[in-house]
Amino acid sequence: MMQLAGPNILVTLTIFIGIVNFITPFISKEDSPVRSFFLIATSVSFLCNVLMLDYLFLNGIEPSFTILNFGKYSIALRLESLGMIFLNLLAVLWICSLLYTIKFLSINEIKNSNRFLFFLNCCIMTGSFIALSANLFTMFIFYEMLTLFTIPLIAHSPGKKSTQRLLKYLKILGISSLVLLLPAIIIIYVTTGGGNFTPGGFIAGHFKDVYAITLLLMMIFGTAKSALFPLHGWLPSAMVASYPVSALLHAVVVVKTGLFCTYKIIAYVFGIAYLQTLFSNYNWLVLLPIVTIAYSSIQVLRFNEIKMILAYSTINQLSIALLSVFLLSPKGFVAAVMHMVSHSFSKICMFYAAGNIYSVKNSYNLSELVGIKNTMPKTSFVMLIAGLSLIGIPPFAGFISKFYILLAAAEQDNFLVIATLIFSSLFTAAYVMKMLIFIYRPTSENFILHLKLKPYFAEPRPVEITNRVTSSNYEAEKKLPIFMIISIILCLSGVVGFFFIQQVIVKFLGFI
Amino acid sequence: MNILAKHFPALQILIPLAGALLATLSFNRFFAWIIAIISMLLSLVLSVYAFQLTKITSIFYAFGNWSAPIGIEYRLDNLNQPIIIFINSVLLFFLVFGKELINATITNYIEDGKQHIFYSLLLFAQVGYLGVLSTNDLFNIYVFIEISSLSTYVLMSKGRSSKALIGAFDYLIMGTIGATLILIGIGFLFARTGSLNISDIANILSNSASSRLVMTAVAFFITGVILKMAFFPMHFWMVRSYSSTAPFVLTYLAAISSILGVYITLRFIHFTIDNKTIITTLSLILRPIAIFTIAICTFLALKSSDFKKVIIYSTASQIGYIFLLITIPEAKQLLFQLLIIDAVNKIALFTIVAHIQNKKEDLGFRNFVYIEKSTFFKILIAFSLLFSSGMPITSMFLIKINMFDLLISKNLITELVIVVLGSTLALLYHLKLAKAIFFSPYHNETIKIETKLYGLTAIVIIQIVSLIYMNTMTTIAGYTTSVIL
Repeated sequence: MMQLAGPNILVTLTIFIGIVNFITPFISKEDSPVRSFFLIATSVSFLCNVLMLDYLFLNGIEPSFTILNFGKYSIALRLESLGMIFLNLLAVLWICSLLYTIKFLSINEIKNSNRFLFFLNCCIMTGSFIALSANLFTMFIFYEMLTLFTIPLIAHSPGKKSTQRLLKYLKILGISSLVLLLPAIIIIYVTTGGGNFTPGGFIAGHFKDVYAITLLLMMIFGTAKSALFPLHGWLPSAMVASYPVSALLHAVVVVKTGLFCTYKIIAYVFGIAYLQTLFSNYNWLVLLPIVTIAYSSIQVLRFNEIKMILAYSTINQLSIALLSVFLLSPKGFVAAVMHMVSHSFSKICMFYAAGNIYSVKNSYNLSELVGIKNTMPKTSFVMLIAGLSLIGIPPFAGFISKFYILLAAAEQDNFLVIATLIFSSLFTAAYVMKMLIFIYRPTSENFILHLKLKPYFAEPRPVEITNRVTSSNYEAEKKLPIFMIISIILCLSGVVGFFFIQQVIVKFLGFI
Repeated sequence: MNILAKHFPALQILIPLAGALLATLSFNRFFAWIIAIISMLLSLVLSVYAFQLTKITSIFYAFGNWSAPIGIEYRLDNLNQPIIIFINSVLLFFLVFGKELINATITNYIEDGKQHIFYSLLLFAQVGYLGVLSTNDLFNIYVFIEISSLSTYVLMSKGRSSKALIGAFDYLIMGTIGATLILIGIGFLFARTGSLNISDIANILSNSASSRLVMTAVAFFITGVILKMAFFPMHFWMVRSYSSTAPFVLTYLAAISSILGVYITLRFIHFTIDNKTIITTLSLILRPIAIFTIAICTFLALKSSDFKKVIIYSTASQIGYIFLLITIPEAKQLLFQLLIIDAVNKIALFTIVAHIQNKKEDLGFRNFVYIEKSTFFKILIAFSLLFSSGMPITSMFLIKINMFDLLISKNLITELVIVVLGSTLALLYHLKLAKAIFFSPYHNETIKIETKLYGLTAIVIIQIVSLIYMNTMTTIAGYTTSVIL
């Protein structure tokens, strides 16, 4: 019970508040104001708690405690700077995704929303546990649990195709973590006698160079959630899910967990200094993400399906983050963390905008985006900003993080990395432009008037409100629930105001 | 009370035996069930009481006051008493929670006048198992093996499918051959030492050089046990007879048979014969077979086209893990954790099969039934599959972690690779099971689970509790301290 003294109470309370949100969907009616209020109030108080933890952390208090002990292996939590960044990101995006998902479910008439929301909350909480994990074993357990909790979300709308895709998703993630990640973790536990994350790494001197490199590769490929080339197939497969789930998978928890685990392994298990000595001759580690970037850049141009384009774009952007961390320099590491956060905001905007369009007008392919500019001008604008941020146009989030990566690469005179980054930006520009061209293509008035919208949006609004008689198609966006708009505005402010977020990240990373 | 305190090792076995005879004479299904429950309850209470005593010291009990080398001696110590408690509770669980399923899937297919015999056979089988566990006499072991086998042959032959009879016949043939080999092994040892008492034989053998005769005896005995346990090259009978019999009876048989096989092997190898001379030879032979078993049986499980067969092959592959651990002396605690946890998992899986097969006989994946509405049932299935697949964080996962840990620290890399592959394949075939249950197409035949789910609920609760208290339980049972190995 000594564990529960002092700042640890705050951590426990934070977790407890998060867990309260598990129950809310089951004790409230579908799409009732009570449910919305409780879910959002809980997530806001979760954020407040996390902010208090931030305050404690910045004042040099690092709470840590053990939950369950199985001898050598234990489930333990500890606050450290990288984890705090991830936890903050999750806490902010939890509010956004709840705001959006509650209304998305109701206007798209998706059934069993209580189950859906329950597992969504589970995913975010598991992500928070990963952020707080104090050792490799804890990280692995919650990594796997995250995979399990996403199953019901992806399988929420059943169908033969979705079952097959779901199985592919599970097979790739399950096999890679069981065959590569778990043995590597246990080898480390057996050889070094423990697996607690230590700044600067704890592995140096325990293994021969060849074995250490093998272990590193096992762990990098074992965290298949970061979607490196041969193991990227689960990401397009998981696209059968609905937009909020895809946003959750791509922008918020799952892929970010993959990145986060890789960062933690590199910084706290191996240590950047030790890795520098291992790769002192030639740093061929960067070639792994470069292959992925080349592959996904070319693949992405093949598709006309919006979701597939976004999927390969995610693979591409994740590899850019990995490229940066594999530079094995402190600057590269900072840049990688930046890119993780900036990509979160850009991608979540992209997905929510696409989700809006889907809610108003069933659209799967690019060609169905024509006319959106006129019916949904604000959503198109969000799409534009998010797209520009993905390419890396100043002053948006993507530019800042890519600028950091370029600086880190320039420091090492690594022209290969710089060239890859430029190459990837060009290709990103190509596919983002492809989408924007379809959205902003000029169309005749007649075409828009006959655009087929979903029944709810096609009904004309009463004249008293609009004060003028016009086609309902021009008014479609106004019927979107206010929650969805707020959520997108929050995310967009992250993209636009990334300069300020960046300063906070730098402050936190100063503690490593 | 005085009698109880003095004669509990014998009473532990005599109470179920008396119960069995009474059940035969009851001529009524319900009374037989009541008698069985009462006698098992008594036996369980007695075994818990005995456990308090055996924790302090081993208890030797001479039957009819004929002392050791001549008479039959029982020996209760901290190796067998926890197992006795375990198998008593398994049968009690089976009887209490399984009444509805026993009636629906087994006794309904027996003639009206003979239904009570099922319970008496269950008790006879239990007597056999308890006897094997308690006795310290080699020939007595053989006798009890036969008692339990004879009853299980009959138990296996009952069920909805008429193929069960053929499966039971298969089992009868192979079981008899196995028992004969065991008897030959015992005979050789008797020829060498002139004694049947295990402690006595150990004494005699330790004073003399090891001979070829002893090795032959060991070879025969182990082959017999392998055959009985359905270890890899001999696994075919198990697949055949298990897949045709009523699934619910397997919750009892599958859970107990492997734990008993391990016990006999341990008792025989480590008590009779000095284990240093034999452990290298044994591990050289048994370890490769164990590896093959894991690799081949998990692969066959993945490839089989029937829900029940997957579980049966999975049972077969677990025997591989068990034998792999037997050959590693340090793995005693892990071995017993694996045995217990695996038994609990298998009980859960076979209960699920029983619930489904109660409605539809054919469980092929091609047109698997669509289960309608039973949300609670599906949640329980999800938990059981999770626990049995060894995903984090379940007891099976912790066991696998410890197994990896052990294999790495012992530098057994080939074994490690196979075990890793085996657990990956295990994950895949559990996915297959999950796909059949949760994503079966609507247009397939639809069933609704109407049987009560108390048993399955209880077993899932036990699984969760066992996760939290796994280490505590093995500590209480005394398996953390190395007594025999």
